[in-house]
Amino acid sequence: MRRVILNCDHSASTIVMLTAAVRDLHSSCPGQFQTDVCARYPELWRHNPHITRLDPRDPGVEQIDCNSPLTQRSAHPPFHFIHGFLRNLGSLLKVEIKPTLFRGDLHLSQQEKSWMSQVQELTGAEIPFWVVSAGGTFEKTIKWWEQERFQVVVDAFRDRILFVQVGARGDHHPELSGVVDLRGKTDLRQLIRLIHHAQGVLCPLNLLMHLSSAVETKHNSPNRACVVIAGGGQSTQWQRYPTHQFLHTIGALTCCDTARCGRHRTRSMGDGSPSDSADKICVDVVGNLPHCMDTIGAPDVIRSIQRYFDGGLLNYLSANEIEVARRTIAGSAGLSWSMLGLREQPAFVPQDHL
Amino acid sequence: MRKLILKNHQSPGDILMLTATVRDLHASYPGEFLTDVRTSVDQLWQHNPLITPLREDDPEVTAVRCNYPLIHRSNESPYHFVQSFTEYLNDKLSLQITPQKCAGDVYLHQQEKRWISQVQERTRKEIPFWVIAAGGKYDFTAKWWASDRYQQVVDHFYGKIQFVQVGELHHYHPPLRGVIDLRGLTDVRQLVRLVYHSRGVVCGVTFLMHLAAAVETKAGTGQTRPCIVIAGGREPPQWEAYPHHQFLHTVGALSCCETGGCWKARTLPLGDGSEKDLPRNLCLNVVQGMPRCMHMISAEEVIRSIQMYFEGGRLAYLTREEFCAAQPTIRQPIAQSFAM
Repeated sequence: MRRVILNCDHSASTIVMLTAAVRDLHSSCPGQFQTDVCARYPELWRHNPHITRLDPRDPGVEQIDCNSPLTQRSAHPPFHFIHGFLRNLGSLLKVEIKPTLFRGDLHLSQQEKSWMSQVQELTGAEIPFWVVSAGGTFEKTIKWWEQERFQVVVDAFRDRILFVQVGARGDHHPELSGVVDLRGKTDLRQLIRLIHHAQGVLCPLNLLMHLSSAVETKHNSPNRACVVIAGGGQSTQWQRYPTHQFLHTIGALTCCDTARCGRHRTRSMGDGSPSDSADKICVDVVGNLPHCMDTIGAPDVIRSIQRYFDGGLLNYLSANEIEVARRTIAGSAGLSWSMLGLREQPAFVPQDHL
Repeated sequence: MRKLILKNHQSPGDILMLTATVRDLHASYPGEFLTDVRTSVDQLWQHNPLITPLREDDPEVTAVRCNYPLIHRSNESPYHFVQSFTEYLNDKLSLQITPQKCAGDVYLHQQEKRWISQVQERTRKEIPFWVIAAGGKYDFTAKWWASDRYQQVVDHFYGKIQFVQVGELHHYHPPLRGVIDLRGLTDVRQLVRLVYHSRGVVCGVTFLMHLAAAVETKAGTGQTRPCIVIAGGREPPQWEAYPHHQFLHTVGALSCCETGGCWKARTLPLGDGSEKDLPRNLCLNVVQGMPRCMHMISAEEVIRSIQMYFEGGRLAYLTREEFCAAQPTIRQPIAQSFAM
């Protein structure tokens, strides 16, 4: 049996794709490999049955630097991001790895699944909710959609869907009203568990989109609803998951006529970042948004969310749940991010410390 | 140099996918293969530089009957239809063909490109137009969207977009008002050329959708062709959707297509003795004569998707002169000419 340590120093989204490659390696070559990883975001590998702790000093252990060269060619061939590591790993290990599932491979322990969600800690009752990410990193401002439009979406579903806003501290996540505010209050593992409990996800192209596919659903339904506000920054075939509503403009603007534009920022931020170089700045800005993101209106997003309910797979909040949601939102407003900046860390303590 | 004859006699959409495999085979193994084909649609191979006439009785020739078992994994696996024959050939011939492009590979001769379009033959003036297919085969009625919704779309863009309706004579293509009617008037090669001249396409999951991606665009009209696909939940999006199309689907939104396409054939039985009428091939969730997944896609949504291409600035609506040029050619159909 070959023993392999996979080294990977990529972003969390990319690591989610590596989890799929490891799953598919074992599926394609059962019993032939023991695998370990040396990667950022170890939270993504917890409870993964394909991981065996290996000693990097052991001469019998192979070390593989994992990359996804396919990413550079992602504009045109019919490949999804999930193929990136798969092909590279297969080539490095000289085996053929066939993709099995169209999702990353994250695992929760039975104990984790038995815990109540961060939302339920606040609501005191289990009610369905959607996770919304209304911003992103300052390196990729081109992925941002307008806060006001997110607010229109949230308002359109008032008393029908409970939205829970998330976002990493230090990134741009402007406050939405009428939501449960968990911005800055989820580490990566907490976010995974939050997604596990979530009925749906609303986000731009980011980790949340990949998690919404990769994290198993709470009630064993095969998929989680997800609406992605994508614009023209990334190629659709490279990013889109089958059961998501993926709102894109590829082919509709000259700057993304054939494929993604690959740019990073809407406007220069003057911070000396590589993302600020001229070739990374959007060439078609309308107001404060890239034209591609401006083209997507709040009604488009609302219609896409409604689709999951119209189809009968999801139900809007019941009368009792509406009361719980209202009460929680009112309570959550007292812990808004802006207030957090003015005082000590709130009295929120994660229930677990894996 | 290896000599291959690739065989397939399925539908035109399938054959179009085989054109991609031939392209990708030669791109992955330059100078290593001579290829010829035996298929049901010769017109899709015209002017294809990758085709060399080969004889089946040539002892150096390997004939491969091409299938695509990959379709049986299409719901859960990250593959596009365009990879289907490629994966089969890779397995069958121990090759490593790498897909190059998410589109079929259709060639037009320079002379063909110079010819005026069938539309211009009628309008006498070159006007921008969209091709619309508002129906389909009787084998797969689950792909049909309501004719009155297509009509709403056409009506909405009255004076802004000139639609040209196409459809095979023996299929179900109810007539639309306010369109240039070319139903039953295009063979495959004529349809290829019509798509070449078109600015956009509106259709279900059909051959026309694949052509919209495979046929090059006319000079000066952008590198890709807008296309709105009214897909519903019959096929998985990753298998059918092209990157620059607006693919309106419901996969993941209904229990019958929660994990992928349902692949059902018919909405209701037609009583024609076809196996498509068997219960296992019938839609499980019918609303007003349409699969619920198709019913959920509104005319407004299709209109919005078309508008997106114009708002993006790539396309312009008809000028008054163009609109006027089209008017004499528009016929108000009297009645459904081939009833369902």
